[in-house]
Amino acid sequence: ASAEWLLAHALGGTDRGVAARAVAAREPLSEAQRSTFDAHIERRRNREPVQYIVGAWGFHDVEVLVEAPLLVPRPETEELVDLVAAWWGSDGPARFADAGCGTGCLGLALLNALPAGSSCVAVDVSPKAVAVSTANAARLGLDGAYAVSETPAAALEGAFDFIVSNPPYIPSADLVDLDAEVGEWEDPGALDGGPDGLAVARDVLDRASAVLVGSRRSVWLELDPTGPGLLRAEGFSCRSFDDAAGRVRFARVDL
Amino acid sequence: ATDSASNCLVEVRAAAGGDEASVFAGDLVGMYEKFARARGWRWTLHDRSATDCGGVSTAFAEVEGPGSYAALRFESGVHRVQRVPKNDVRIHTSTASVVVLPGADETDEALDEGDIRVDTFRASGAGGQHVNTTNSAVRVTHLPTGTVVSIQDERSQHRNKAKALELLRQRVLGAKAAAAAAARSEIRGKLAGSGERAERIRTYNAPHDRVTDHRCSLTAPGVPRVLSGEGLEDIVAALARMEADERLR
Repeated sequence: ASAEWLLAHALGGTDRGVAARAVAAREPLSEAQRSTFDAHIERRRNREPVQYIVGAWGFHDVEVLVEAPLLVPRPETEELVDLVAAWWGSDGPARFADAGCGTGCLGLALLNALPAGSSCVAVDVSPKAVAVSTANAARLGLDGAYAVSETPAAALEGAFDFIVSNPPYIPSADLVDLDAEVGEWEDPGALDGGPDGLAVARDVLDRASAVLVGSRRSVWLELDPTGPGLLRAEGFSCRSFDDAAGRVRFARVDL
Repeated sequence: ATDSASNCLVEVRAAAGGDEASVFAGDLVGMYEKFARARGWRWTLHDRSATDCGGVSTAFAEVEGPGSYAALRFESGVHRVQRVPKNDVRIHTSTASVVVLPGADETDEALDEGDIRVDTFRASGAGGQHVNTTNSAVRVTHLPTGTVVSIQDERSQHRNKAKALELLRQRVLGAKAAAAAAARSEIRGKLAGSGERAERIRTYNAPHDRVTDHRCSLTAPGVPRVLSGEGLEDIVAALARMEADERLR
């Protein structure tokens, strides 16, 4: 499957069908295509994620540049975009924050899905995240509605209807079990959620009351399946949602 | 009317005959693609499962263009080929089945969300941040009719899902429209549309190099000429004339 994506990219396409059709038609590759494809395969042999090799990936309804070691967008997070957009509805523009934005995929896809006039303030502690998400916003024509800065979640400033976040949520002890694609290539800072996986989520939740305004004041989180239960036990008013694979994946904490 | 639908869905499936059937199914897909392109219609292959020998076990394409359904609807049924395969001397007979459904316009009704089940193909384990995946394939099932569409070619799950849902809507509404049209006897007599899935409608005979359509009894010379789409034009024209004659009776 990786090979199909890499071949499609070498052929200049963004969907997997490009490769399948070329193989079916038995078209020979040009020299340039061949050498690009071979280089891609070499990198893949090193367990480098396909998305880093291709340099960009589709996320929800947008395309984002992806660069190591920023977290590669996951399909689950696309479902968070739909949940939040459906919950917000179409009544008016939203002002929201994206805490731990990485490539910017979550905030930008959400801006694309929310009513016109919505705006996003994004923060991340990684300077590379700031650079890449800035580039992505410009590339999508959303830079007028998107502002990102190198700031920890605990220092988030502004006035927002809601916060959305895909914070690192893997319990530290589980980091050793990860596939090489994740463990050897992606930023541990984007994965390590501390002993129970909730360290950064708690920072976001603690900061929420200082920055949330209006009638909807909620924090939407993507989490490990154990997360929502733990938050409820700590007294948070938390509604959880499953992902498409049936795992508990998202929580909405209402203030 | 359904007959004037400006897009249609073409599904080809290898039936009896193992590898040979799958090669034949691939030939039919190629024939429809060439036929469509020569007519200036848009051809989009959505779902193609190939076999090891280079054939096709199932393929599903969308054809867009005025008159596309009117011309291709006669293809529904079982197609039979008789030929000597590469590494043999005996004549093999194999079959492929074709179903052509009228497409649904965007202005047509939507399906009930509650009737649709969405599945994603996800490995076991915690998922999410734990895993890097490039597989965001989505399979959607229309529960009342059992219609299934799975799409895997887009990078984003959102787009795979959107495509799958739209194609599901087209297939479900298309089947509904075709059944209604058949019930209204718009397509009469020997040309009974996609309701007659088991009906053998055409034989492609390689040793005699001719294709015979059993409904209008037309024999078109040259199997390659038919499979290139050119000979298919003659067959479609004959079938359309026959149907027009039957309507007048």
